[in-house]
Amino acid sequence: MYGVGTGAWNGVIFAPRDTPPHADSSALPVHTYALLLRHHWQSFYRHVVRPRWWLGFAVVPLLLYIAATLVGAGYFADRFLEFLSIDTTALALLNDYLLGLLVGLLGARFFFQRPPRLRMTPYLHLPLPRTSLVAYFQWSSLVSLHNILPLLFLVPFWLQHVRPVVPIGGAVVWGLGVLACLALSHLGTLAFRLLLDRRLRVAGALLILLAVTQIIDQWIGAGWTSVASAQLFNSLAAGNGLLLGILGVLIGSLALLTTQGLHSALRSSRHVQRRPSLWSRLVRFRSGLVHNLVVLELKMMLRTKRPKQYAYVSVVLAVLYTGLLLSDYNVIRGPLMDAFLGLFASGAFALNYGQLMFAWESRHFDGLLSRDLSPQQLVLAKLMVLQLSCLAMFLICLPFFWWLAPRLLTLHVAFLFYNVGVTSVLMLTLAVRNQKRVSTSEGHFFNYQGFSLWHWLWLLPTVAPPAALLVGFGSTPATAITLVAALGLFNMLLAWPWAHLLGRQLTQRRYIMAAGFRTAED
Amino acid sequence: MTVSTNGLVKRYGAFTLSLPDLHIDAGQSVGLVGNNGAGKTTFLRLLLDLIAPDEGHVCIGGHAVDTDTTWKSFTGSYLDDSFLVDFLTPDEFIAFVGSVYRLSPDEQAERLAPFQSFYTDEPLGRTTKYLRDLSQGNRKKVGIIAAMFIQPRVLVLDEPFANLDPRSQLQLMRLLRQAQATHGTTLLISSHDLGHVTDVCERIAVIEDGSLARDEPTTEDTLEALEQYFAEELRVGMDAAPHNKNAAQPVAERRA
Repeated sequence: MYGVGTGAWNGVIFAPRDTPPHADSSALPVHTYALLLRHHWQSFYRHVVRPRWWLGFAVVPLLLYIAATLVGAGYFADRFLEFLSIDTTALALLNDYLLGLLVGLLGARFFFQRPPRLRMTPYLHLPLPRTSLVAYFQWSSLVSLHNILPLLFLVPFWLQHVRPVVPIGGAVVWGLGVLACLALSHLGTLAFRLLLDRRLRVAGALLILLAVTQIIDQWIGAGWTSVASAQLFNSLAAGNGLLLGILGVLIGSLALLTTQGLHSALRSSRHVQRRPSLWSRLVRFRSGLVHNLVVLELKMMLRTKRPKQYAYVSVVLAVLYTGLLLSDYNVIRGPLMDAFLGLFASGAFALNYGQLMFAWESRHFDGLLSRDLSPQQLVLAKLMVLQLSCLAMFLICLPFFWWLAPRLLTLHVAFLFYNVGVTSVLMLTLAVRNQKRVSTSEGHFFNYQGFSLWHWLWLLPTVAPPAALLVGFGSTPATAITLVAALGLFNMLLAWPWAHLLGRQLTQRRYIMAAGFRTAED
Repeated sequence: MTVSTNGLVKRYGAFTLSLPDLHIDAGQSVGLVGNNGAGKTTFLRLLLDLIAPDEGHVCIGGHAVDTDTTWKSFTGSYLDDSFLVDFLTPDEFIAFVGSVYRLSPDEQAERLAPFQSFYTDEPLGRTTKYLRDLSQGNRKKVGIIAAMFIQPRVLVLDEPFANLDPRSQLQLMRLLRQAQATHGTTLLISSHDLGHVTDVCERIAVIEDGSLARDEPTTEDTLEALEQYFAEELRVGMDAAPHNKNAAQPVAERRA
């Protein structure tokens, strides 16, 4: 019997010894699954476990702690309620909030779950049946922490607080219903990701609709999510098989939709030839090297997938967050929230896009290094892009401050100076440390290619100074806002020295960066 | 403009590239040949300051490339696709490179004229295709044009003939000879195509296992001598099949 693959990948994909070099794609799916499973394990073991065995000492106890906490919370839920003096049963309380929790899980999945399509890329040129590939990666993506962690809570909860208190039929239907909702949350995320990839505006409209619904729900105090949650899970606990059937149909439909979407995404990606848009044509190269480097960055933003999505998402998120945080819906107020709001409103783009600068150019970094471009000019051009983006974001978010919270207008202006002067420089300081290759043709969502621990930690020195000022001068906010603006203004005056300093760092790190950018995309 | 090495050593694990005293005179054309992994591209990357030497320096015009960037203003190069900005159209890319070398649009147009017949599939003027959407051969042509139209004093090309159609290969040979004759360009060309490289270059350097195995002027017999050299290497390699005890021994060592 013929296997799949040539066995030439240093044992990465194994095949029986009699595998012909032209193995066809009609191999039994089970063989493909077995090969992929083996590769999956090898990939996990070689990339995660081996090089970072020392990390296990920190991560394993942490994971065990989280697992024990979830299991304990599920098993002893009634004692927690007793301790907190909440006069209701554990099941009734969970039924009220479970839908909200699952919707909240969508957000976590949105930001942290890697899409199956990215995992599939290395296999697409091999003679493996695509149907099996899609099916394998689609369903293997279910084995993620986002599904395992909820189960650690839900299984002991079911054993202790569902099975003993409702008839066995109801308990089973409730259990299956909760599993179905978890799967729906998973598939819903995949579907939303596909939508974002292909119909950005529709996805944006859906997000806005969801946000508006939530705001109205909170505003009028209807608690629609809670009511729907209670009705759904109480009905399931009562043994409503019809509801379970509906959930099953929904799962089937979403699975079909995402599978088809994944199939067509594989067919349509990459080789579509696009013509330069009018906007990107209008941005021309002229005399002036820094100007031309700025134009080069703008053309990249307009013409390559991931940078373009970063730009769009920065604007959408800044608008959404600013609108939500300034509305009455937001009950969390205070200097820390003001710092976050100010920083994000005009600095969202710089914070998002700026952190991967230079890595965006990993495909042609060698070309930039070998040409007559000084590092200072490269840095200065990028600094100008970030600074201009802060001004643009400031103007986009200005109407929200104007209409929803005029008292915070001065804060918005102060943070414009801070983001232009400080945030832009800090992001470039981080950017000259980038050394992981980034593919600009892949989608941005759930894609963490190019990121390291530094990218997550770097937010601290960016947020800390204004937050400390706003908290420290809590009784005299005007003083704090003036100091934030002054700090930004002072640093704006130092733009040229900063460009020189960062240019020198770029010169020192050019070999490490170029070597990293030259390595294959993971 | 001269190109020279001064005690140059670059190590990658067990592999060591060592070219302690290579010297290329101004206006000379040198072909680098050798097997895959011999160190040709590593040397070109060292020459263009894309990787750091472990010891010594590469100098262009007497300036060490890793400490002085003067060489960039008169050196044109194309090693691979990483020298192209793939989200630009060919005309935009050429305009960008021209602006880097401070060429006005008129100067750019004038200098592009000799390349019009080399790049025939798409007009060199306003185009609508991105570089990433072009064929491998056309991408290479754009990269070579971008390296040559600035009229560099030193031109560095890696595998320039690969992926080109026969007509374009002949045109490229003519363009390279013209550049050398008209502008006194020093040429450094790495290639596996022994026929073309011996046609264009007046000196051939063979790199093997990281060191210079042969370095001699091109004569009428060079092509045949090179073919014999690599045929001999193949024979030695086949003799050193798994049953042969000398299989792990470097080829140069075995030949000695």
